[in-house]
Amino acid sequence: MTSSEEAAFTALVERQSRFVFRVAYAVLKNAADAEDVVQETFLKLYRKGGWQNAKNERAFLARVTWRLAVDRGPRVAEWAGSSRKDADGLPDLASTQAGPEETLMAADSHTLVHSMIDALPFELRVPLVLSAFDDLNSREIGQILGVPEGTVRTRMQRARQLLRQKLGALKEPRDA
Amino acid sequence: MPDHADRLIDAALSTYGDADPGLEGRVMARVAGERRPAFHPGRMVWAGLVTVAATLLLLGVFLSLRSRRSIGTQVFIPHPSEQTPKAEVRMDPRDAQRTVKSRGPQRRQQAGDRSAVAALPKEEMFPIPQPLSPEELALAQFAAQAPKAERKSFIRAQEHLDEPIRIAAIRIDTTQIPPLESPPLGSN
Repeated sequence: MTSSEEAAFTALVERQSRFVFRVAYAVLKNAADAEDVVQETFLKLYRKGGWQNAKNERAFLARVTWRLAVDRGPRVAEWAGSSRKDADGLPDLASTQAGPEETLMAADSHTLVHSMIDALPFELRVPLVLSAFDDLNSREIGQILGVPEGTVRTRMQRARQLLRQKLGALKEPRDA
Repeated sequence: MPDHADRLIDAALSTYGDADPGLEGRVMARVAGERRPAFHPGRMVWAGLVTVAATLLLLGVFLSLRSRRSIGTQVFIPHPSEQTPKAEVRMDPRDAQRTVKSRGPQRRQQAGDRSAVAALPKEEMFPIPQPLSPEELALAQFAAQAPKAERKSFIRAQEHLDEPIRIAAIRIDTTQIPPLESPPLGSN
């Protein structure tokens, strides 16, 4: 790698490492694992290159990160494999990981919603988190996840609907 | 409530999965650890040696070509005043001293032809014809028109051009001025 390529790679790391981390975190829900995936992602790019020619840098990085993160956890990999075969098959939306009683204890509203996002099913959580980036549209998210664009939109709507329901359920006891 | 919930969700999504400070530095440190084996000292030494050898080889080839060209293309340009101008070309000494190893009559003949051709001077530059100067034109006319005796004396005089000029002593004869005769009065 030449000195100019080294400088470009350093700039890429400084520009996109936090984005890559968030993609990995959306999949793994664990900061340590997500950071390992970030380092693995950039090492792979450093060894093989190819990032200079990407049309959409973030979409390219998200695809690489997604694959590495999915390969990391067997449960996630299992779902990712099945989702590619049957994109419309959604699991039960109810999740018991973060109930209203637990989330009521959270003082910070962001932390509260973060815990709700964490509690979302994997196939709803990842499209929702990726949609937070302006650079990625539904078609690109679908290409990253290996599902049709319509499925991505449906899942994003369902994720938001579920979060709204949970937030509404939290407010009702206060209003009552 | 839906609007407020959406705003809350969007705000939470913008900070969801924020990395700890110093992530970029940790990533670059890991990449730097990957980079180190590429700068192995042994490889660097070999790369340097190969570079030096290639440079020396190229320099040798360049110098040999340059010296060969300078020997083979030295040209003497004749002075324009020479009456029989001809170009003399210094030959490559290797061509002039080329010896022929005879292996057969046919090859000997071919080698003889080659050496004969090589012995001839190569006229790579022909003399440029110059017009005669006015002095040269006058000399040519004199040579064409003057009688033989005069031409010989002229040639002899040319041979003594380098000698100092001898000038005879100047002799001034006294002039005799006859006395003026006074005109008769009343003649005008």
